[in-house]
Amino acid sequence: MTKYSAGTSLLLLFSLLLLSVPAAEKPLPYVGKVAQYLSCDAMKGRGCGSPEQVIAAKFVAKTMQDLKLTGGMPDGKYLQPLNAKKVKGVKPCPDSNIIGVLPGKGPLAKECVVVMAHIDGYGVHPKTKEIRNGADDNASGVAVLLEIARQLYGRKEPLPRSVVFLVTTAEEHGMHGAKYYVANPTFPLDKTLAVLNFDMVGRLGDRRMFIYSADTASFFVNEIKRANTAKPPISLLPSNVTGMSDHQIFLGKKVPAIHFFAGFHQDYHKPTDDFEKLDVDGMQRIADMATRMVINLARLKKSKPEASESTSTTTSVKATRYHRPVEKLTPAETALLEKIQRETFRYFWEFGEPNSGMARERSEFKTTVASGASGFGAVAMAVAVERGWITRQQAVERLLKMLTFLEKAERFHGAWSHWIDGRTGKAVRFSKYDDGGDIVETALMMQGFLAVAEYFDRATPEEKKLREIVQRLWRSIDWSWFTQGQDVFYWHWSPKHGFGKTMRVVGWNECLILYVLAASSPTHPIKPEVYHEGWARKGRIENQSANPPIRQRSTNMTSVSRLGSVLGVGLSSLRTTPFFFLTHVV
Amino acid sequence: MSDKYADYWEQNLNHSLANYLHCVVEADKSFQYGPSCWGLTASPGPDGYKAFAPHNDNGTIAPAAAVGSMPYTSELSLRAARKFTTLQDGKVFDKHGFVAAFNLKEGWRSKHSVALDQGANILMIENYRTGLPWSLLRKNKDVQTGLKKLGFEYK
Repeated sequence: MTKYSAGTSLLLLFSLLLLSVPAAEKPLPYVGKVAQYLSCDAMKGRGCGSPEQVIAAKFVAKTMQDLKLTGGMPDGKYLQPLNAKKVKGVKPCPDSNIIGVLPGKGPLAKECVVVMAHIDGYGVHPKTKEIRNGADDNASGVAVLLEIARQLYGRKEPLPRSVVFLVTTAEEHGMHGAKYYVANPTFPLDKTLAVLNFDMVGRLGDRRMFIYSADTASFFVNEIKRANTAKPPISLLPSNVTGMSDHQIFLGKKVPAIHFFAGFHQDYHKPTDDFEKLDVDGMQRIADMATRMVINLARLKKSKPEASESTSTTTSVKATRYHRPVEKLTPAETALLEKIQRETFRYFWEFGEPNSGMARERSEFKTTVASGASGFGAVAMAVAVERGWITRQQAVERLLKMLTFLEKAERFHGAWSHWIDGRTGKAVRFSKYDDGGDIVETALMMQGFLAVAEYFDRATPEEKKLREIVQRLWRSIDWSWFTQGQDVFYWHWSPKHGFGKTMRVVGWNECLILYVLAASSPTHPIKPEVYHEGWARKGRIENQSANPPIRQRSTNMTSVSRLGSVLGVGLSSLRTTPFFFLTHVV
Repeated sequence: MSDKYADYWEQNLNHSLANYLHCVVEADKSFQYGPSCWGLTASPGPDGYKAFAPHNDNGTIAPAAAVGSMPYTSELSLRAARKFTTLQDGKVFDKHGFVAAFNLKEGWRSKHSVALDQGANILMIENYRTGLPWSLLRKNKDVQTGLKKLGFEYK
């Protein structure tokens, strides 16, 4: 760390900024100044691989040096370039992590507590050229991290354990900085007691703060409480939801790690994630609390870091809190569920479209029926027989009506359209380019009919006929057509637009059933590669918003063994509310 | 059900919990969410159909989100289901089950039900109560072969 030429002007700007607070106003505390600097427009959102990201990294390194932290690299440097060595799963990139160490003293000095925050942002929008400043995500986290280092600066008594300040990069693009660090750690991972990750801690306000993965070490909850001595205390919500940020990578290596997260907002990843919206006082309170926690953890009497304990127990912990076995329902509760089901059934039964017997898309639609939802409706018929709301004969009669209709309905390489005219069987255009086959809807529907073919298993002529038609339909769907010979599914095809404007079906969202059925087809199956490459992206599967499938955040579903992984609050669209029955065959 | 990429029970459980936690803890208080009133998903809203999610939240709840999570978060889903039947003079639970969505802040509710949501409501309650829909599909020989081919494990 000797040359600052690229960043000199900005560093200078920053030092001026520190002095430029009007006397009449309440001076901005250090934590606010750092956040303000990192999220100013000149930083251009600290995009991965941008010159501004380098300037930000150099600023952090310089600050660490000023705070008398030692460089975390073997040669005493602060920067850990991600392209220095090849690490499996890490995309080579010109950015660096920044690592500073507050050395411990005594027998525990070879162990450490890691304080972490990512510095990269989404940068400048490639089309609109707007700057996504990333004040909350995550200038706030880096500011809190440096504030903790500032408070520990100049302590007379060194702490027993060392404290590693790790500022990561490329979090937004797949947590590459964290992945690189765990492959090249300053202290061995089995000597790492705990990781405290700060990602989006800038908008506390009067809300409660999440502390994710709080169950990954037995001491976390107690230590969190012990550190929360401010008056009034911060309202905290320790949770065993994993959270979606760099700490996952440590959890994947069995290092206990928690994520401080002050909440989600409409400005997430947008140009409006600005400094003016930060709650600087809240950041200060978080930093004060976290400093106490770091000190306590650095002193914690425990010779060995404990392995993440929750890996095998998460489910049962959650089960007691959120789940009640069906045997424990009161009669009133059972009656309520029965009532909801029975009323809902009327939507499919009495309100079904009279000619086709299919489910109307919405209750205000007269003639347009929905293919996928009708498959759900078909299974509802079996439920209704089982619960005695209709007779078996009535159900079979209705299902045969639907199946005969579907045999004559317009099809596209065996697929049905999302919407069908219940009177004629013709495809109804769903959107401008979606006027043909919809392979996802087809899968949603087919799973329902395959299920009822299992239920109606008697040797009567009607039930036999039902099973025969289901078989014919099942065998006539040309799943592989919708891959265009590639290792991924395309959602739509139509004679008019071909695959023109369609989208690829990529996990994770509600479409898993498509890949499962396509692999199960006795006549037009896909190869397993289509699933592994197209859906799971060789393990790079992540949570997504479903429509359109916009990449929200890189979260590797395999990175954390206990998986919760996948789901931090809010970082994925909740469109994937799990109702497709094959999401689980448990 | 799981494969080398994920345990899908946990995936769905966590998705539901994330939804719950957002509504109960994190969301704007004026939306009047709570432990018995939660659940965002793509649905109609006072300003039209939107993919509602924590970063796109205007106070619109779709009953199918909580009710459709019944097997995973039965305790939380039950509480919500009970509450939904009483809201807005009982009109959220209309003649064919739940309406698609409502918004307490705006005093709004959808006049309609959506077929897919209705399917989720009835079948996921059944999956919670007896597991029938799940077990039927699992019985299919072709599906068993397909799951095996893709590397899924299930009990």
